[in-house]
Amino acid sequence: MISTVDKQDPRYPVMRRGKNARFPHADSDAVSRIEVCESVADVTEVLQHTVSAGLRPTVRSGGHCYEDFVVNNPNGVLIDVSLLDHTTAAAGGKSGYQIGPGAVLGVVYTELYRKYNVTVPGGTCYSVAAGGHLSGGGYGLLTRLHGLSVDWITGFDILTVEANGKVIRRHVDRQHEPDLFRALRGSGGGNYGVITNFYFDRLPTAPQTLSTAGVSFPWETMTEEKFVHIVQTYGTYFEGRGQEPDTWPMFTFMGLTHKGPNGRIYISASWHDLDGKNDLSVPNEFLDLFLKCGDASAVDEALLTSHQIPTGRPPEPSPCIAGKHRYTTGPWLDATVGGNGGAGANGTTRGKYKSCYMKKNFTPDELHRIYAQLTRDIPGMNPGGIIAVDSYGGAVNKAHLADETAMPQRASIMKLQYQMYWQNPAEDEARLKYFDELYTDIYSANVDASHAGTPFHNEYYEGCYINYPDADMIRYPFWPELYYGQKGLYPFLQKVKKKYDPNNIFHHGMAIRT
Amino acid sequence: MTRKSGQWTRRQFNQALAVAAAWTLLDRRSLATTRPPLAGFAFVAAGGESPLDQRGSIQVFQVAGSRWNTVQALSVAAPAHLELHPHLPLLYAVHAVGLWNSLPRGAVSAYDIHPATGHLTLRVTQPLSLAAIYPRHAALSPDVRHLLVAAEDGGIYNLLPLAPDGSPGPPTAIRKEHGLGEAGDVKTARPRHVVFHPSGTTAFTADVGQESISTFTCERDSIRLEERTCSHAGAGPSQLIHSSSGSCVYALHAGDGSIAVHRLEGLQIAAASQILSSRRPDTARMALHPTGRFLITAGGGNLTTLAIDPRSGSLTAISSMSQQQHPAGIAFTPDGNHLISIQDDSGEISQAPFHAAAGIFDAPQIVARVEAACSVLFRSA
Repeated sequence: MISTVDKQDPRYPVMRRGKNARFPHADSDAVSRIEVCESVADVTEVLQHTVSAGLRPTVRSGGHCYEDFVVNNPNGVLIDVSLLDHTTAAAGGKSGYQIGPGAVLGVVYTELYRKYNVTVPGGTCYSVAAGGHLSGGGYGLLTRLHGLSVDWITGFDILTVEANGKVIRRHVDRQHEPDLFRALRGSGGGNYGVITNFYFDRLPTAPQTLSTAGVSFPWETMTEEKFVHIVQTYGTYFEGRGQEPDTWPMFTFMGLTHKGPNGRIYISASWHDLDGKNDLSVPNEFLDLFLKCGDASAVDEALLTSHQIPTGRPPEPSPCIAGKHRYTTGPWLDATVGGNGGAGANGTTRGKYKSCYMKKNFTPDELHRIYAQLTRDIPGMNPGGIIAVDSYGGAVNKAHLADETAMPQRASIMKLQYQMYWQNPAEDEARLKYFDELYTDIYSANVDASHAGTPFHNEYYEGCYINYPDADMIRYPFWPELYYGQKGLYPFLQKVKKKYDPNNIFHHGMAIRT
Repeated sequence: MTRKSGQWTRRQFNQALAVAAAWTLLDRRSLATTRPPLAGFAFVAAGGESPLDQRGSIQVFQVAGSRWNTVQALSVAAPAHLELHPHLPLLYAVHAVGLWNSLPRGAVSAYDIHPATGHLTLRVTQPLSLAAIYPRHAALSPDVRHLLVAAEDGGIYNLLPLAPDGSPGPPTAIRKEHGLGEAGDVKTARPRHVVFHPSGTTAFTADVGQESISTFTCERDSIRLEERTCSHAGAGPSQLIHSSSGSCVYALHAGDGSIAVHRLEGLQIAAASQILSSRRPDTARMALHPTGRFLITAGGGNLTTLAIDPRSGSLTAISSMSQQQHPAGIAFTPDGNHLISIQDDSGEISQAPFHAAAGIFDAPQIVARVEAACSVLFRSA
């Protein structure tokens, strides 16, 4: 059944927006109605009606899009597929699994675990839905061990629009429309059609437990020298030891926060126990490295991801002891979907995000700039925000997967997500300016002049992540290369786009352009 | 759709030539002296047809008789089409670009015209909606409350509200068109030209990709399709003009150079009642004489005058003048005494006196040259 939410509906103010309260920028940018669909037939009907009426469709699964790609659709139609949220065995007696685009990752993990004892190597924010997460690559705690989510996808059901405006259903896989199959494996949502099913022939076995411990350093006693030491220690590990396969079950996170009262630099290590032995020697070895960096403190409940940075009173620190870090160990499922899971503020918080894939450790010049930016005073504003440095590499870096998927970044060892959150719309301009300046400055250190301000592909960087889209990047004519590399992927995606969406029905500010 | 008439017949052409020959026997000087000298400002858009690099300009000329003096050369991103506000000293330019502020969209600007000097001053630029790329035409609604823009490469129409001072606001209605065909044999929508019916909110649009003329009702927040009239295969309607009475629509076809006459039944477009085929399928532009009595076509090596039957709206060729170059745009001066023509290849701008009594032209005079000129308008002093 289709439920229509128009401007007269009391649900409209809530349903016209996503999680990021910045969007839509203005009432005039908002959709005319939201069509909530419960089935593929519903989606087909709504999409056909929308196209025939000359209106623009945008599609929402979980509402986590970082930019305005979905809710900025003046007088258009937002097709809500959040109720296509199944996680089941593949239909028709086939082996494998199928996941609906509206299934949120927390439920996907739970269902796959309870029913089949498998999981997807998915994301760390558990209210993100499969539709957006899987379309843009999908990575998380298990990525170093098992690769990206899209590396496991073996098929899609998708609705596309023919040149004559007719909506058709397609099943695509390696044998059927292989060009579209590849494009759908990571080039980002909102480009080709409406995905109604993701298929996986097989999935990795779920870990048994997850153990997390961490260290932190207070900003009060921080010096630039110490900051450089800490951050380079982290990077050195992933340049070398961290790429050895026995370390791949470990996910780490380093949170570089802006200096401030009670502010701390956080580092955590999470170990996935696969065999019941829960040997923590690898995360111990990693965390011990930081005890040489100065006044490291343990954290009672280590942070799993950047989405758990405390906003109120910080966790109570206590001394660190080499080899005896304070682990929180729990069943993998509980640890993975417990807490708020980065559920976000459901449209009440404003956010801005940027990203960078790093192939090498941080350089001194880069760290000098990061330190300067994180210690910079902004009159009348507490910048907040965080540069989240996630461990990367391992199973992701199988070079052949760059040619089989639409995720070209297969040589990086760390993945950075720049995040800033605030509440007051009046701060938008100043915060966005600060954030842009910070990023531009940092990525002018190791980049040639023609690409300065971006982590353009070179010996240090591998561009940006399309699931952390940053509209600031489109001011650079080479922005598609930032996200899709320099080896012909973007021209390939343009051909696919032209073939399967010849009318450019599906478009947004950073969509594949033909 | 039925073709009621074939191409221009030998008889029609002979008739036209005969009229032209007879005209040479008349005393043109006596007619020429009765008309007031041309005076005003001409606005020529340049660079709008090759917009990849977004360069372009609007050249402003002060015109006195056959003297065109440049008063301004304003750098403008790919102006493909110009429109004058009917009551205010305001010029609109459609920017045929694929990116505006880094987003995939075109834009429209409004320029104040200095009443005495003709100088243009940018008042506002309004980006179009996402994906509305390479707009190439726009039309003002009769009440001057809206500007309807056709984004050819995007297959999108945008309706922009106009403030009482004529300033365009952000699009309040967007219509995304689809094309024809399935699988490999496809044509996407390419809306090329829009025109409002004098009655108000009804607009007719020519789409070279869809091979059709569409009728839309344009209201503040919607562009509603009322009817779609298919053109003959390969026609590619590219320009529309409605008769001064509003009872007919003339469609010029880029595909084969033909012109179709469509009667209006109410506001519904009937199938073509007449199709004039061109011997050379590159008829590029047409213009309606202010009296509503003549339709001029430029292209195919000729400048041709078609007389309009006031009752049926049908067209009859009455004169033809050889024209060596390919016209990029033609426009009558408001008094109808001159046709301004811009040439695609040479950039020459010529001015041809027109004699409405007989429907014929004097030899054109080259008055200026603007490289890559693509659109021209004249505003009387």
